[in-house]
Amino acid sequence: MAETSGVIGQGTVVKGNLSGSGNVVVRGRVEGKVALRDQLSIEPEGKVFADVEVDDLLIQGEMSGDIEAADKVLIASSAKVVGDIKAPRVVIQDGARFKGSIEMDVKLPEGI
Amino acid sequence: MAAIEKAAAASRGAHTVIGSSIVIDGEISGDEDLVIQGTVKGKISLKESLFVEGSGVIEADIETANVEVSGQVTGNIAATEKVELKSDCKVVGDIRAPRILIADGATFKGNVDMEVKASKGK
Repeated sequence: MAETSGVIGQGTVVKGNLSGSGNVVVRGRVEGKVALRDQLSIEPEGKVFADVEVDDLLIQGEMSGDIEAADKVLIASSAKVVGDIKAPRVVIQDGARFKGSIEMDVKLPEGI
Repeated sequence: MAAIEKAAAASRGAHTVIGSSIVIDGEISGDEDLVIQGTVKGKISLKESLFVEGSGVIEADIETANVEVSGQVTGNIAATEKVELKSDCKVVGDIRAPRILIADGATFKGNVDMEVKASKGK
């Protein structure tokens, strides 16, 4: 597990490109584009309006944008998400609100 | 060193931290303290304090209340209260603030405007 390398606090707005490595926690607002190795965690009070490329994404807050995760996307019960998701593992918990498509890159069994 | 910086950041009650492995190209605004250990290009406007740590690199115009620079800043700084250039910092740009401190060892190139009214006569 990589270290927390950034926190966007509740009173802070970031507009533009956010990139790098390490875990980033969002309690404020991010608009634009996020390209991150490791994990992005959107806390219940966090809002992300951006296309996101990351290994691991945990959404507890609000998010709008397309998601491409190398490992896993978890949409927690408190989350509200609009956008398309592409990831090998996608978890949507009971209570979560989601609108969009999900592509898990599934190989269809032979003979279909 | 990193641990010290983190402890220092925590003691200041900073809510937003841009770590050394993070790059932001765009705009950061907010009404709470901001600690930058990574790279920020674009624009920063805050109502509170900005701390540019030793590993921090900023290529942006800065508008804030207080700024403390230990890293590198290229851009103009406008502060409503205080600008402090610590030793080992590198700053290129114009600074406008009522209070400006430059420590021994700091590298700076640019204009300083403390909003001093030129006294008339002798």
